Amino acid sequence: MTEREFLEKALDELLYQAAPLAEKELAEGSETPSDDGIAFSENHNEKMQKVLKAYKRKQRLKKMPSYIKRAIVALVVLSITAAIGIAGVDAWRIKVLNLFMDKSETHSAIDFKEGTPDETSTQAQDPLTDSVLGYVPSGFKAENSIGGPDYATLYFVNGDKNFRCDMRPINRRLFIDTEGATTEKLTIKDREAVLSKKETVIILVWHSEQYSFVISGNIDEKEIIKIAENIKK
Amino acid sequence: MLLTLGTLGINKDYSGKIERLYNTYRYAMYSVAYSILKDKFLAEDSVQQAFVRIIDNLRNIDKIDEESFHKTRSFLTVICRNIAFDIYNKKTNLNSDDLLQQTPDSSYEPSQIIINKESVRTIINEIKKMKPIYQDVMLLRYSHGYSNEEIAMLLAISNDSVRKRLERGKAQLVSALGKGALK
Repeated sequence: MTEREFLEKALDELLYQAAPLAEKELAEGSETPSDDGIAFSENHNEKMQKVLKAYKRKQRLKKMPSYIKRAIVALVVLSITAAIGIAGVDAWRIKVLNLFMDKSETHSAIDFKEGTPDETSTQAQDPLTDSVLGYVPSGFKAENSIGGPDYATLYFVNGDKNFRCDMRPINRRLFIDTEGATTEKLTIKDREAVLSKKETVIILVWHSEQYSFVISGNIDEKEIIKIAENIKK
Repeated sequence: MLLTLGTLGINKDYSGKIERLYNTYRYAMYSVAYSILKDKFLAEDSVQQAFVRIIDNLRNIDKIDEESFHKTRSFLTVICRNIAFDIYNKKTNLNSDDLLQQTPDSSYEPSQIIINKESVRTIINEIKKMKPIYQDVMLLRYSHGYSNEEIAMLLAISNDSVRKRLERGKAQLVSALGKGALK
């Protein structure tokens, strides 16, 4: 620090000490005017009211984003808390994020395309049952098969073992039991599929360009996957 | 949640503070403005403009210390007095910066200072004797702690004018401190 810089700093320090004292002495030396004899005009009062109101408004606007931000944070916290409670019961729904589902008490409804399901476009014209499955585990016999040109429900039994294959146009809604189920993601014919296990029942869900499929039954998981991989549609 | 909003200081009410300042100090401000302008309506305008200027330019209203009556009054009257001078100068086609330009440049030489126990008293006396144009920037800078930029905004003058006024005020002080030392 040069001598000049030092002295400038010293002068500044003196000023920081002296200026408040000078200000105080100046204030004490001047009379405090009272409001006696001073009457502000109505025009001035109105103008000042406007100035103060405008300032209040400005302050409120400044505050508003903070309120909103905090409200959003609070809502997010509440949502996360609620989601944690719900997630344990409905793990299935978390796994099927790419599908569109409505969950009721005992089943889940899956829409493979957005929008209201088309209930009238699936009237059967020609049965497709025979052409759906390319593989049936040995010993299983078809017990009940219904279908049309664009849908099929095939039910097979082998003693106490059974499985069922449902094929629907992609704009139809499927109902499956997911309550208390554990799920995992698979790939069937290059398509994402969801395998759900609940006690002895296994459910496999996926879709192609045109159809959605559900294979469910109390047979081995590998057999269900093999049936799925050999679907002809 | 409401508790959190409260503890985060959301309810800090600066608008209330401005209203309190107006109600408490408007007469002092008016008196200062009237003493310059000798016109009731122009003095009222000065008071109003002073608050508009404070609201528009002061980022931190907290800096106005409500606890210290004389300091707050001094701050508000300084702003109001400067506005009154501006109005007066407009009426008379004078510009405070013109006056500044006319004053010969008197850059100070700190090496002339002799600091002794009387230095603070000397400076106090000199500040009290200063022309308002220099006194105001000195008080805003060294008593209220505003930066040159903030002073420029509050007094509606350029940064350069603030710097010049401070320099000339200091030159006056240095001169006084030198004389004091010779005595």
